[in-house]
Amino acid sequence: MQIQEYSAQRKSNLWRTLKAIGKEFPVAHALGYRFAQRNIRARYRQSLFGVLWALLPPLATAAIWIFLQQKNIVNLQHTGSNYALFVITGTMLWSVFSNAVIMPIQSMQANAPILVKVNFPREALVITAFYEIVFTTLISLVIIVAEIVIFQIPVTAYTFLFIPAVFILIMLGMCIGLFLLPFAILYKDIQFALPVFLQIAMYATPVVYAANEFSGAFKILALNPVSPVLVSGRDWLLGGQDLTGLLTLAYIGVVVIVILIAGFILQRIAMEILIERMGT
Amino acid sequence: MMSQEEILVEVKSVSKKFSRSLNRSMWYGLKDLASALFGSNQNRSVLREGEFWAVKDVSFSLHRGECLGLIGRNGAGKSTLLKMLNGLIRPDEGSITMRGKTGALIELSAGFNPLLSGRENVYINGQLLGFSKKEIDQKFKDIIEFAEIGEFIDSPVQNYSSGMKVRLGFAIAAQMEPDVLLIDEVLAVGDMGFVLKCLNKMDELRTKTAMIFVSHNMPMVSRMCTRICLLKEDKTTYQSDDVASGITQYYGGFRQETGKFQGTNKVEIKNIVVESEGQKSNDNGLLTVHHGKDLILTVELICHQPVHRPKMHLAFYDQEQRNFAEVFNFFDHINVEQIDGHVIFRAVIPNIPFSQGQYSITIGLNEFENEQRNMIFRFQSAIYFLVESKQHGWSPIQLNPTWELITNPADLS
Repeated sequence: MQIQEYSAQRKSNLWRTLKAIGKEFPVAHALGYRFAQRNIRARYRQSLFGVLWALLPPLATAAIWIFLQQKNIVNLQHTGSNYALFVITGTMLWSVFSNAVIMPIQSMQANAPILVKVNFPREALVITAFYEIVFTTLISLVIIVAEIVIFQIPVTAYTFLFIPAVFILIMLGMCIGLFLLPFAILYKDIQFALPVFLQIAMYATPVVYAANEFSGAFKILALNPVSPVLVSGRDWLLGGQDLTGLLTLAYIGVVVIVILIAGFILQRIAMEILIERMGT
Repeated sequence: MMSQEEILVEVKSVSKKFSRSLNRSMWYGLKDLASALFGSNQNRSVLREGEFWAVKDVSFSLHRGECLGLIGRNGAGKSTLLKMLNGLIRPDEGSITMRGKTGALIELSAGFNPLLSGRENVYINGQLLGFSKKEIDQKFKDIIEFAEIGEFIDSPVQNYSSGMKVRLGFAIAAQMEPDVLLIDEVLAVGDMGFVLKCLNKMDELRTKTAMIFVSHNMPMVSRMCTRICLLKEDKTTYQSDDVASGITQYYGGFRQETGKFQGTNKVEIKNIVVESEGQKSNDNGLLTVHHGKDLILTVELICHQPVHRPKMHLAFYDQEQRNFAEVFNFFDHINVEQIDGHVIFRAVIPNIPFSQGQYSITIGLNEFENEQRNMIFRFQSAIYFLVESKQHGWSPIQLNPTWELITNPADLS
């Protein structure tokens, strides 16, 4: 018979917390998957254009920049022969990342009513966020595939390196989201500030321009971990065959997975403290 | 075979504090978070500025087959205690041990998505409560049958009535086979038929589980519970195996609110007094009447205009606001053409057969003029008194028949 003990002093250390998360993971995963299914179905049930709405923001941004470049209002170099292709791929990848930052927070906030009433493995909601991000990403991939077909980009083995890059981008976003989560639950400021921050961050990342534009003091922006992932991913997709970025990517990938696990532990420890502040 | 003596819930001096101000609450949350992460051991049993004890020093243990009624006024800490038992929040003092699987009947339709169909929501809610998809497949038919949802099962839940949502929620939760069951005010909605069905289900579960039942509905508490725990506002608790006495104490915590005086200004009530065994009610406290003794009610009136053929009637209410006894025999004793000026009516009610508890008397006066009845006044819960009795049950009337034992039934005929 299972025995649960709740006392004032928390007895579990990091390792025990991790083990507890691991033990409940299958249940959390099944539930999280179910929630994601529910959210996706419900979200588009009352809309005519459905999933197309997910594509609109990155396409709108791309359209503006294509216009600015064509009219020579801006003059961006090193973007390859086709700027439209460059910028659409860039904004698509950025939207994958920014969505990954926002979703864990949104998932917890949307489910606050059941968090304060039902005892279930809280990781489920992070998993829900993950599947929702994957779903939106898959829709974005439709645009990418369309690009490949329309512009007749040659598909090689290098093209498929694009996939792990997208995956790391998602993980990177979720890491940031998970670490912001406890503060976002306590203070609404995070929620208000996040879209603004992501907007600024987009321009601090080579999304609409090439990384070579960094010079002087702006070189510091190259430290942005999103940049190498996004730049390499886009490069491979658009026919690049340069593998120098691969090691950096692997490096970032490993660090991100470690941080993500830490994020899960943080999340579990934080939740029971946060729930009593959540009210009903 | 499970032993009846098995202790499933053990609560040892559990306390929980909350903050009154939202800003402070958030700031303390941040601090608590930091100390949980970096392991600094702050003393959690000290109140910080703006904090108060929502639950203080509560202890009990509960065996399988027992049902503990957790009662108290709003804000007494019932829901907070239940949240701690459910493992949602951690106590600030003391410890809780829960043995076996814990189930909770709390906010049954919490996880429902209004846009999805009942069928889809059954699967989502079922999984939320810890069932696997396969288990829900197996129980699906029972759930639909219990909920009496019928063809609505494939309609979006936003088209359901509130009662239907609760029914579906309960039907899913009723499939749980927990060792400890926590119930928080779930039967407030739903028609009588469904409530009875739920009560039957709970009776069935009661023998197999240790139950904790939170409700403001005292008839329900007295029906379900074998023990009572009253959480008071001063953060003391009263615990007893005697459910009726706990309920009486719970009601004792409310102010005796005299009701509304409705009527004409023809007559003014000067004084109302109840007395028993030579003791009279006064302003200092309630009169205590011992079970089986006489109760005398005196109503002193000043009639500013003559009242023709007056008739007074009385109605007795218990704490649940149930009107369980009435007095309508006025004309058998007093049949006068008219009263005027200063008069006193006195009624002697012999052998009060009431159960222990607090009661009120509602007094009405009518006049009959030309075959027509006019109301002079009606004074709801005009006066309160307590009954003290060795025998007390939930019913306000306790009868005292004589009993005999017939050991040889053949002799009777």
